[in-house]
Parts: sequence; C-alpha cells; structure tokens
Amino acid sequence: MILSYLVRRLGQLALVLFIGSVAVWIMIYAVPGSPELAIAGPDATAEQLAAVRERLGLDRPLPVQYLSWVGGVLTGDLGSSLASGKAVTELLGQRIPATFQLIVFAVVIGLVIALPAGVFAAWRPRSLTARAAGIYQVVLLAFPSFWLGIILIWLFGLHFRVLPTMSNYVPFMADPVGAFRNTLLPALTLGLFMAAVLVRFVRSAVSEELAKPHIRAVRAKGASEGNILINHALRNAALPIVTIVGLQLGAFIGGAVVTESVFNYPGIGRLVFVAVSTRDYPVVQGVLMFVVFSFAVINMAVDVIYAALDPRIKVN
Amino acid sequence: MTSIFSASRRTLLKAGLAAGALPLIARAGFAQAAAPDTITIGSAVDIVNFDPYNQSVNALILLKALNAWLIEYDEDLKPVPSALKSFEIGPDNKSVTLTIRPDVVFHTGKTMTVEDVVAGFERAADQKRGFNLFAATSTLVEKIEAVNDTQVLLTLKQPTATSLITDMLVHQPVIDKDQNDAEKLASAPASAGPYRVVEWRQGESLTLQAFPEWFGGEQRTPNIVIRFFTSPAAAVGALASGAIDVLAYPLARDASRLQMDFNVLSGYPGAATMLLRVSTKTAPFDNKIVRQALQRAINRDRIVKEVLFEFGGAAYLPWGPKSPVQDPAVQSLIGYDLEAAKALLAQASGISGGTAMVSGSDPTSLLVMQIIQSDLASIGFQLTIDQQDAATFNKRLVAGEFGVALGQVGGGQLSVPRIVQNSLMRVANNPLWKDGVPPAAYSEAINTLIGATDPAVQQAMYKQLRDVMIDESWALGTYEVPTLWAYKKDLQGLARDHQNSLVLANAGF
Repeated sequence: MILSYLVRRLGQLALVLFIGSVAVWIMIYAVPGSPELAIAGPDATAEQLAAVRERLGLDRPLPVQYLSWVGGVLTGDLGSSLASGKAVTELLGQRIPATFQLIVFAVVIGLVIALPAGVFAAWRPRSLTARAAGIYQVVLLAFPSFWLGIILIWLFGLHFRVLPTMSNYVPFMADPVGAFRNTLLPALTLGLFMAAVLVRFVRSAVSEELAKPHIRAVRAKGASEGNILINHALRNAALPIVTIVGLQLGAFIGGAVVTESVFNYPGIGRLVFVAVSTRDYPVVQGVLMFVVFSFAVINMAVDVIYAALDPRIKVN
Repeated sequence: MTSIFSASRRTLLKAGLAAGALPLIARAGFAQAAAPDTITIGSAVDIVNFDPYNQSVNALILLKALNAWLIEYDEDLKPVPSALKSFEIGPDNKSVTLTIRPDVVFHTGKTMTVEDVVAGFERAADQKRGFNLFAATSTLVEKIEAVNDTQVLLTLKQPTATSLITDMLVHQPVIDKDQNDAEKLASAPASAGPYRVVEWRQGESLTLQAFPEWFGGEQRTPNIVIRFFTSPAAAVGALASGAIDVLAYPLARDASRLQMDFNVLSGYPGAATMLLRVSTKTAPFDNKIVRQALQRAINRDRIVKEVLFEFGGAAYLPWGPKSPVQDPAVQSLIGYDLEAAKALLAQASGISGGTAMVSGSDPTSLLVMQIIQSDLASIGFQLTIDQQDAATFNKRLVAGEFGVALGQVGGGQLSVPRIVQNSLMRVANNPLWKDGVPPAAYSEAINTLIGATDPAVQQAMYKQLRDVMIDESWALGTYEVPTLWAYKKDLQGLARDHQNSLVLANAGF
C-alpha cells in the first residue's frame, strides 16, 4: 500500500520538477542582465561579448538551450558554472553538507525553545512564562533576520569575542567543537526565528487538546501532569507542529540566503546569491531545482510522518 | 505538577552549566585560529575567473599573486624587467626586442619559452580572445615572431611613444601556451606568479600556496587564504574580530573608522577615476550646453569630504593627477559653480530635467548622485535617480542606454592614449556617441599621441584633449576612486602596484 503511495508521489514529484524547471528557466531569462558582461567586463567590445556568448552556448535559441539542459539533467549532469566552468553538481556537493548541518542545528535550537515554551504557555496560559513566550514571539517576528544576525555577531564575535564573526563549514563528525563554534550563530539566528513561529502553533495546538474531554478523563484517572502534557496533549497536537516544521525546513534550504550572507556561511543560499548576481544561469537553475526537489521530498516525508503519528490517517 | 517543576529545575541547571561552558569551548577553538604562516584576506568582491587577459577590478587581488608579467613598473612608473631578462626598443621606435629569462617556470611545471611569449601576444591581438589586452596590442603590433630560443621581436605598426610600448609590456602576462585560453584559465591559472592555487571554492574561498619555483625568490608568507563575503558589513566585522588579516576594498566610510586600529593602504593615484558618464544619445544630454552645465554642478570637494571621508581626491579629467594632460587651469574652467551652471541651463532653454542611472549595489555612487541631484534641483533641473541591479546597470552602461551614470575608468596613470581602453573613451564604437564616433578633435589627439615623440606636438595634443573634454563634456571627472585595503598593524610589506593589484610576495607578520 505504502509502496504504491510512494510511486504515485514520485510521479507527482517528477511533474513538479518539470513545471518548476520550466518556470525557473523562464524567470532567469526574464531577468535583465547577462553573464557575458560579468565575464568579459563592462569595457568589452560587442565582438568580445559575442565571442563569450558563443563559447558559453548562449547564442543558441532558448528552447534548444533548455532541452540541452534537460538532456543533461536526465543523465545526472546539471551543467557547468558559466563563470568558473566547474560542474554544478560539484558546487552543490560542496554546499549541501554545510546547509544540512546548519538546518539541523537550527531545527534543534528551534524545537528546544518552542516545544517547552509552547507547551508550558498552553498549560499555564496566564503565567509569566506564557506572557514571556508571547512577547518573544512578537518581538522576534518583528526583527529582520539580518539585524538579529548582526546583533549576534556584535555581541558574541566582537564584544565577548567567544565565537567567530564569520562561519566556516566544519563537519560535525570531523570536529564537533569546531562545528559547534562555527555553526552556532547562524543556526541561532534561524532557530530563534523558527521558534518564534513554532511556539505559537504549539501553544494553540496543545491548548486545544487540553480542552478536550479525553484529557479530563486521563486526569481523572490520576495521570501526572507531565504524562498528560507529553503523551496525551503534545502527541495529539503533533500534526500541525510537524507541518510547520516541514515548511520551515523547506524554507531553510533555499531561504537562508540572508543569514548565510551575514555570517559568510558557505551554504546553498550564498551560492545562489552569487550566481544570481553574476547571472550564472546553470548554477541558479541547478540550485533551484535542488530546492524544489528537497521541498517536495520533505512534504512527502511529512505525509508519511502523519500516518505514523495518527493511526487514523492512511497514507493512501 | 511537582514532577514537571523538579524536572524543569534540573533541566535548567544543566542548561545553565552548558551555557557557562560555552565561552570555554569557544575560546578553546580560538586558540587554533591564529596562524602566522598564513595571511587571510577578506573581500566583498568575488573572483569570476583567473584569466589575466580579463583584468577586471575583481581580479586585482590575484593578478600579481598568480601571474608573472613581462615587465613591471616601480612607484614612479619606471619599467623594470620581470619575466624578461631585458627589452630593447628599436632606434626608430618601430620595433621591440624581448629577451626572456631562462628560469621562469609556470605553475604547470613547464619552463617558459619564446613560443609561450609569442602565443601570448597572438592571443592579445585576437579580437575574440584578447579581452582587455586586445585594444593596445591590435593598435600597436604589426607582427610577432621568435628570433631565436631566447628572443622575440615585436614589429610595430608605426613609430610609437616609448611609454605606450612599456604600458603594453607591463600588462602582458606570461602563460603556458598550452593553457592560454579563456576557458582553461577560467578555473586554472597557468602563469608563473609567486603563489599557485591550491583550492578554489567558488564564491567562498581561495587558498594559495607559495610556488617554490618562482623566479622572484622566496615568498615571505607561505600561505594566502582569500575569503569572499557577500555582505560588506560581515567583512568589516571579520577584520575587527581578527578573523581576517586584510580587508580588500572597504568603503571609505568603513576605512575611516577602521584606520584607528588598522593600517590603510591606498591605491595608486589616478589608477581609477570615477567619471560621470553622459550619454550624448539621450535627451536632454544630447545638448552639449546641458552637459557643460552638469560639469559645473558637481561639487567635488563636498563629495571628497562627505562621501569619501578625505580618501581620494577631486578629479576633473579622466586622466590621473600626474598625467601630462592635467593643467591647474582646468579646475577654474569646469569647477563647481552653480551660478555658471544655471546660466548655461538658461542658455539651453526649455530643459527641466533628466535621468541618472545608479547601480543599487553601489551605495557610494548613490550618495554622490544625490549630492549632484540636490545641487541641480536648487537651480531648477530635476535629476531623477533610476536605481538598477548591478547586472542591468552594467548592461545599460555598456550600451549607452542611460542619461548620466557614474562609472570608473582605469589606466589614467599610464600613457595618455591608453585611456581608450575604457569604452566611453574609445575613438570608435564609443557607446556614448551616435554611431559610436566621438568628437573628431578627440580622436585626432589620441591618434596623434600614439606616435608623437616631439614634445611640442605632445603638448599641443594635450591642450586639444583638455579643450575637447571641456567643450563636449561627456566624461566628467568626479573623484579619484579610493581603492583601499585595511590590514592589521603587525602585518608588514603589504603593497600594491601601479594598477592597484595587491603585491603579497613580501607581506608577512
């Protein structure tokens, strides 16, 4: 049963990727500017610019370029950077582990803050903690992420000088301490925002559960408050929380551009930022396809997790 | 209820201990950051490729580190042989004999031969492959041939001023002929500079290592790491925290603040000049009286003081301050005078405004344009600022599709005709003029200066250039671009050459 579901979703994924690739292709070419200028410089002659276009294959009709790219993708070749000639798969391969590590750190931070704060705020809605959680959520959502990043750099990098102002990618398995130091600040920036979004959903979802009759029944049977909150309220409230975490994960993969730029973190966001500014079409196309693919896979994973969390839901 | 509270206390205690340990963990990590055998440079400008024929601003960090050149200039622009053993200009200034050094080894492992030099010139003379070197080489060189195993003869098209010849040689890199191609050099340099590339992570970092077979001797620092930043603020923060040793191209505003704690190295005077480019194809700037009015409305002193924080200086012509074209009288003829500008606008009659294009990624240009805009508004001319993203800005700049725009020109410190390397100063295919043809008096002066060796003729042509630049006013000098590097005070020997390429071979702690 689950196999047929997965096959059906994979078919949908292929359709999404195709539509996404066409949309991305059209959007990239609709943006003014051209890569040959970034390569040849503003003082290049028309002949030199034409020579660069010819060398890069940009003089061919757009549909031909697209079909050539699709042909490459089907054989695992996402093309090469127009600037450096490096394979897009190689560039992605360098950045994916960095972004993955950043996301894991950020999600851990987000969950560590949001779950206890949201559950407690739902359990004791008039408490100081609940009010503090409300203020935290409003304040954090009002801050631009780059501003929070700069504040963290100033505080921990320049004032206390305990963490680096620019973040290298240090693999966690190779050097856990180095990875922690280098990833903490950008992860904190993303994680604090994620927590601000998540705490509201946790609070409302758990509140709703706590008001249901089965909680009264469990409480009447003498269950501890901890047991009630974690095993009965939080578990039943997990569906919307998983949905939000899934959406946040997708957003982090392609949307950490500003945070990665502020911390100079070598992830996918920075790669696409640079590629867009130099009109490096194959890199932009490759990265965006990866983001679309990741988003679709995460959504699929969320659907599967739904079924695991709630036996009433069938994956088919 | 009690169980939850007790668990929270324990959890809080553990969290507090973890938080307390954070600075210790962080400091433990810091201990390994300082490495005296490495210089770390931060740059907010990424490197596009390694081709020295494509000498764009973003390659200035690397040009001198990775490549070797036929000759070099000292601080007074006196030529010094580099990859050449010597060079000799023929008595009629119609030929040049180059004698190569026998000990120049490329990063590919091959020793330089005359064939490499010949192939290098042939590429420079090829319109499709020569990029920045094409204009000078194709204008000057008739024939390139190897005379024997150590000498190359350049036959020139006409008797050529010595300074123009040395300007050509100083910008000619030596590259392994088997790799001398834009595509191959895009990601793998193949010259013979003091450092070679160990690892390039595009848009992230570049790691260089001292090249042991460099013909120039021993490098002071074995490793160079260049980190690329997409945020200038992050780059400044990295220098302030000690994470990098050198910050390339900080904004003047940041350099002004940083110079309290860091040294600041300034660029070569005249190597880069910011011009207000005026497209004579676009109304109302097709009227030269409006262009002349614009010339008088640029408050250069205010720009230098308020935007450049006294780095750089005012510029009136596209050439550098030491150029023989310069004349102190120019300042009084085209200096800031709003009354004169107002009178000129009245003379033009019926002109009330125009459009200025600015790159959104260039905050300095925006500030400068806003100063010009406010002065023009005070005399009844509304200058609308049209911000474009960098790619669109460059595309329209090259095509001359704008009213006015700020853009740098380079080479103003070199021989006078060399200025034609910049698109808006070309004598043909000039994007700011209808049919690409600039005023005849300008082209005549430039073409005459290429071969002029008589001082009287040279002086006459310099005057002709001044007059036509003032009269036609399409390339309005605004300020000398302050190319800057901020670096740690204990770093010694950091230098830049005549074209603002960073010289790293003698730099070290």
